Amino acid sequence: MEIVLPFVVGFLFTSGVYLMMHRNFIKIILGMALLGYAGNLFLFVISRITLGQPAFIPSDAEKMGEVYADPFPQALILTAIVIGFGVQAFAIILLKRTYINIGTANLDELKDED
Amino acid sequence: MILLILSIGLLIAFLSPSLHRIAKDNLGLLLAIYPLSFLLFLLSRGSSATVETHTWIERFNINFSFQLNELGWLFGVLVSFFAIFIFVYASKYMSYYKGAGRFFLALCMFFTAMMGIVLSENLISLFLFWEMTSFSSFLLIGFFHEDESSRRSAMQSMVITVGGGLFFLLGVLLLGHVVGSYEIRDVIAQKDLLIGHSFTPYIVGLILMGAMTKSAQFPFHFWLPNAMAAPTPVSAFLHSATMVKAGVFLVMRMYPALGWNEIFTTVLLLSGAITMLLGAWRSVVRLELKAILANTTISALGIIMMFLGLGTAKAIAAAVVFLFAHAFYKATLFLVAGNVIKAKKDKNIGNLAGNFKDMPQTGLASWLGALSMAGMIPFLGFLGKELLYGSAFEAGSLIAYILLGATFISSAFFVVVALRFSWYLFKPGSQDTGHELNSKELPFGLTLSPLVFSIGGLTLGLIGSLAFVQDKIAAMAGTILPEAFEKVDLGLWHGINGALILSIITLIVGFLLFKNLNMRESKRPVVGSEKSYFAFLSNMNKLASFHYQQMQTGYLRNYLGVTLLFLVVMIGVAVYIVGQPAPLNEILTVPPEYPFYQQVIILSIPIAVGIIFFTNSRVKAIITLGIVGFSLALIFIYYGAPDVAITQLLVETLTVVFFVIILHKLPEFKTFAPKYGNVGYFVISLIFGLAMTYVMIQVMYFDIPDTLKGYFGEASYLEGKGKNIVNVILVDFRALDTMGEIAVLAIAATGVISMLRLKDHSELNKSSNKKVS
Repeated sequence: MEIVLPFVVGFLFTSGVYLMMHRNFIKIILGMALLGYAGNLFLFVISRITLGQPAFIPSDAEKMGEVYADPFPQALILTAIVIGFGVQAFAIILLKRTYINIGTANLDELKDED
Repeated sequence: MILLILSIGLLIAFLSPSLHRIAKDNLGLLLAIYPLSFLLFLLSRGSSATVETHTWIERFNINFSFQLNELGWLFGVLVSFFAIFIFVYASKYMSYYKGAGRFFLALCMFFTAMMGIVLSENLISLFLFWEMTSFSSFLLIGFFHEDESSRRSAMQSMVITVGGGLFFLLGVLLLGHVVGSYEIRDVIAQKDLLIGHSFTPYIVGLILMGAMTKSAQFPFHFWLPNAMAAPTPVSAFLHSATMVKAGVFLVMRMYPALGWNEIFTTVLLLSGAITMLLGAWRSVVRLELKAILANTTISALGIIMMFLGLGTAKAIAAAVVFLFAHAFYKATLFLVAGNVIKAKKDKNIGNLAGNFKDMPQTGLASWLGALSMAGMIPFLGFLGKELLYGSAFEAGSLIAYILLGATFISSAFFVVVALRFSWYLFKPGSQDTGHELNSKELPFGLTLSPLVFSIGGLTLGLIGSLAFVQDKIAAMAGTILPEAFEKVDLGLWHGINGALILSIITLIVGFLLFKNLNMRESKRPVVGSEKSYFAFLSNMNKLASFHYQQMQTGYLRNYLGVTLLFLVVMIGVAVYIVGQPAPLNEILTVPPEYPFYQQVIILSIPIAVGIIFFTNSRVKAIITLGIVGFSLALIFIYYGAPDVAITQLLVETLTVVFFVIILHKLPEFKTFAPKYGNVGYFVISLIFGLAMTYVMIQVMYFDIPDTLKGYFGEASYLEGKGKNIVNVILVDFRALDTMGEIAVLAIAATGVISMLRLKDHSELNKSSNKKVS
């Protein structure tokens, strides 16, 4: 399955970026979400994924055994997911506010209005 | 100690606007204590070989180190001596203008920087002071900033000198790379490393760029006449002992390390000769007092550079003496010009004949300065010219005779200018009739300094043969070229020889030229390098605006497209440079094996994304986005990352909820496609996606070090006291990171809440917007 994952990530990158190139604000937000997924999965996959061996130290041991998932990228991704959520929430509210104030969700019109 | 004095100097500089409120018009007199104490410090310390080092950036071998060798010491004495009387003069002069505090800030800074240059031992700190002089002279030249031409001149001098300084820095870095040290004494000691090294021509060229731009050598000569837009004391200071002499100083300082190089000497010779003739010619066809002097400065700098390029022991000694002579008479004449302009409110020499009775003190100074410039016995100028001629005779080669001819021509022009500043401007017993209103001698504060400088030139000429003067000059020349140490003879009389006869001929020719040359203004530049400067500037602007119009379209998709394509290109370059990519055929032909439930996960992602693309319903789009997120969470679980999966599930749920809550406030889900056809943008996206896939396959194929993994596996429980390693990393090993993350969330939350509460304001806007649309 490992060899399929790069293509899934590539697919997510493609669709995320393509959505972000639209003019509709909602599509841009959806694109940002997909781009976020792609980035997280990218980081996860390239750092040696290991099947079903979470990085928990067994209760009777003080150190990890031989085979286990790399905890470090996991920690990074965890942070990234949470921050991605914050950014997304902000973008959604920004969209709502823009729409109420200016009356458009078209990014190009925002440029003209300035 | 030197670093301390320089720092105090900068402090004084920044205090001077405040001091101006207390000292009022006497600020310059007060501040003159600074160069005075510097001078006293130098005199009491005397020259020595000791180096004062303060480590700055140890790793790169960059220090603040200073020395008091003969060259730097004597230069330092010269600069601080001039600074004292320039400060005194400026004190009175600036009382006629607003903003004296600002002026003295820049002047103190400039003086400090200049002292930094002449005393620096480390090339990097020398560069720092070098650019500081460029910057502070920018402030000084542009002092009358209401005037457009003044601003332009300031800008020009800064572009040229700072630009040259950057070339100089490049040269220094290369030099440091070859020699392994930025300390000048190390460079000199190890100059053998430079001989034959492939970098040497570049080093020489780049360092010369710095020196030539600073010293206004052809083809960078044009900024200097424009720099006369500065207040007179600044012009006098810049043109005599500082700024333009910094380039000469640099050449002298680097001479022991680079003087053997033929490119070095040839460039100096050629550009010096052109500069000298150019400046000499332009000085007699200009009528503005300061412009005349500025062009003679260019010429004099050309002479100095040229004789440094000639490189015989006697030529070096002659260049040194001439440098001093020039500093004294040029400062005198600039201050004289300033006084005349101030008193008569006229700067065209054609209207200013005969002012002696009106301004006797200024006139006296002008006569003394002009006689030194003309090279009359017994002034310092005479010694300088005598040595120049003598050294060219002694060198005896063809080049030396060509130089002699060129020097003769420009010296004759110097005589013309000198006569205009003495015989014409201050004919004894003459009285000006044209400018009666202002025809009064200026206050003592404005006549003292030119008198001091002119008498200084006379005195040095008279005492030149005294042993200690001669020793100092000889020691300075010896620092540049050891053999020059013996060759300094500052006696006034050497019997009748070629140099003396040529001196007399120069005077006669100069006098005849003065009588016969009409005073006629010609601003036509002989060489068009200034034109190319302006062409360069305007083309830069055009390029910038072209670039701006092409790149800054204001559309997100364009920024995104350019950025991503660039990223793809960089990935391509990296793959190309590293070479040996993983064999794709081999990897991709192995059929993947995975159970049914994994197939479901993998397949659900593209299906969900497809729905997002093609649906017309906002709810569907958001829910299918959730499906992608949940599939991702499943993948995380499958590969041993339960914490990540839990977070993903939580965040996914929150996002969907968040979306749905405000859904009714969101716009209709119309398909706003990219504007210029979907295909191009889709192709960019596809290329980017494929590039990322490619990168992943490459990275996965090769081994990467897992020291971090091992470290966390070992230390998590023993040091972090936790068995869930991911959690320990987040809250312990990388706790600061997590704190940053919380801060980001808090900021985002603040933004969200404040935008939610904007209700009333938005209603207002809405109604006003409706009218517009």
